[in-house]
Amino acid sequence: MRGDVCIVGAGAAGITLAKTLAGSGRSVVLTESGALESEAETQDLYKGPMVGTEMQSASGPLTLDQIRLRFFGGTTNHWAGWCRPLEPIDFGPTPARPDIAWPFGREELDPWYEQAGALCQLGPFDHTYQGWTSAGLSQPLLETDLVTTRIIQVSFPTKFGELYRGDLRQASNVRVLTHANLVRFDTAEDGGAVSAAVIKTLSGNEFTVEARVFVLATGGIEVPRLLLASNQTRPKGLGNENDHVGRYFMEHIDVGGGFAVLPQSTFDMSLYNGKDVPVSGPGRLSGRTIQLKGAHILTDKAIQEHELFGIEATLESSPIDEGPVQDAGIKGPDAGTVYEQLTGRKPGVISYVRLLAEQSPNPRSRVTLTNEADPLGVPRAQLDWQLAKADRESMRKGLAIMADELGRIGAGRLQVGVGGIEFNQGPAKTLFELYKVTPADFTRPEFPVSVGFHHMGTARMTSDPKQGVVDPNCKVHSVSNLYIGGSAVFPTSGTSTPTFTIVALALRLADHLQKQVLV
Amino acid sequence: MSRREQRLQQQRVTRRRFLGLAVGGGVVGAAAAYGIVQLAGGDDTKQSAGSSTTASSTQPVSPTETIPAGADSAYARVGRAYLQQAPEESSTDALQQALPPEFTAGGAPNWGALGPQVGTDYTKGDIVTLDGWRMSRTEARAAAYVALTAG
Repeated sequence: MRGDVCIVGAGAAGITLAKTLAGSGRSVVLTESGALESEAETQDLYKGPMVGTEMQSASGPLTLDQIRLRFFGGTTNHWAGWCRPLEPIDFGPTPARPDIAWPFGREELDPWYEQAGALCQLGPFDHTYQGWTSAGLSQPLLETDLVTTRIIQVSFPTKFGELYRGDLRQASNVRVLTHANLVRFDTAEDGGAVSAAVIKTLSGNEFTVEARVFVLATGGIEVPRLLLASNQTRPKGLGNENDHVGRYFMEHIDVGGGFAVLPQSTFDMSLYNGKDVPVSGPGRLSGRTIQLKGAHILTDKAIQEHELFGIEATLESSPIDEGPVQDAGIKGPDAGTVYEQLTGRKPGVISYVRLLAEQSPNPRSRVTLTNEADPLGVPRAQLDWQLAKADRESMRKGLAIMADELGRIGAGRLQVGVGGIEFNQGPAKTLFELYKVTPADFTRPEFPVSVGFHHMGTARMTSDPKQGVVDPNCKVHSVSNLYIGGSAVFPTSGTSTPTFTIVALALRLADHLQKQVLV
Repeated sequence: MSRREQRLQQQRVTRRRFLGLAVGGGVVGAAAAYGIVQLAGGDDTKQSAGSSTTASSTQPVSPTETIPAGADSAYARVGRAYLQQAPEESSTDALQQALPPEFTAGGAPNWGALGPQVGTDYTKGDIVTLDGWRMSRTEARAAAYVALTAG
């Protein structure tokens, strides 16, 4: 099979690329391992060992096949739809991570974020609180020198596989292959260019796709797996001359941060609970509403002066009469009494604080290959996730800054409790019983962590070929026609959920291919 | 069911569906559902003027009345936690010396007298963590005093 472009992986990046190239006059082959719905046999191809820091869940540590989806649409089949661009400070070096930065600033991605908003079914590209004042949002809880407010636009959530399937089907220049598993890239003799993608099916078929350009867009774990497995001409794997492929694996630490107690009737919490607002725009946005949700992040001043990684705090809610939320009422009077004693004010609202924290790029946090092969003969991946002590300490300090700012301006108080997996279902008398942390967690070097299922950094983007895997155009430094799509290329993780940035980068890559490569 | 509730429900179902697909029915989920609970009773009439909750307000709220707190209360537990952290202050004399004189001048604790010193603590960053609560050292000492003197 031949095409101008072969895209491997039909997730947010791959579908965005294929959809953008539809009608371009260039032939596109989009291969997807899974079907249109999940199938256990295909999902099992994700299995592999996890060592290092445990990713916790209520039922125990997570496994590699639980944290990803391997069918058409990829992880957009289960994402929550939260969209916020990376902050400008996420692109540059900071005192906490002075040695790594993106090769360009936020302004480079802004036009692509704007276009990504349409694909993600968002409103206008503005994620500042000030930009949405006309939407009637309630006042933010915190707006100080150290803590500021951002607006998360919540997509429907847009399931790329379902929504854009029709567009791809109608595109005469796009061919979509499901149940088509890349097992390796074949290269020219010197390994400097990919000659073919070798595809296998679980039913035993094998064929190749030849193309001028290949884009690997299979997620932050499968990208390094497949690069490392493509070692026929380059024994260390494609793009791995400097031993960066698979390293710097980053996740978003996604844990409870405690409970905020706020004075009664002071706040309209709709900013945090989410507010539906009508938006107008081209195509599918017309006549629809989106949800806006307030979040607090540390300011550049806080990050720089305190040498911190970023955190994002959201206040979560769901109807009071639903499930575990009822339990919060059990400890409410307890926290309320303390609050009242401390401040002399009647408590009105108690709210769970959810944290999403940046992880530092760490070369020891990595994806490697095991000696065991999957049914297609591809070595299984092993993830050795290494959350550094500095990551945990930074999160604690960042949350303390938020808590202290809350107290300083008299907006409320925060009983902090970093960690925790989920609410206990049974009766609980204290905050700590409620969501499975103890006061000792504040001094222990480790606390249980759950994660955002965001896999980043394993084929990071750098200008210097010696420091990363892909160049600023997402091309593998040492391979002339191989590009990487998705969050594997993120040099830093920031604190915003990655899909929006993945789509923006894919749009930018599509533009680059059309204007610079496929001419 | 409101649109927001529908959206939340849809997200949960989606998450559950994923888990069902990927985990075979096991429950995974970082922070799947969270609560905002309106606490019963109370009013906000005691807010001091200017206690706005945005950046324009820089003054901590001054407690304006005495609230009973028994030795078994969560507040007293916070106070005991402070005494563990600062055992050298484990006497009413030591705490009285560190607290504003007006706090105990009338016999019963007068939280209203703490305000300026609490503000100074926040400005200086003299903050402690007790039972998870972030509070000024003066507030912690007041809680410790109550823990030592409450019946």
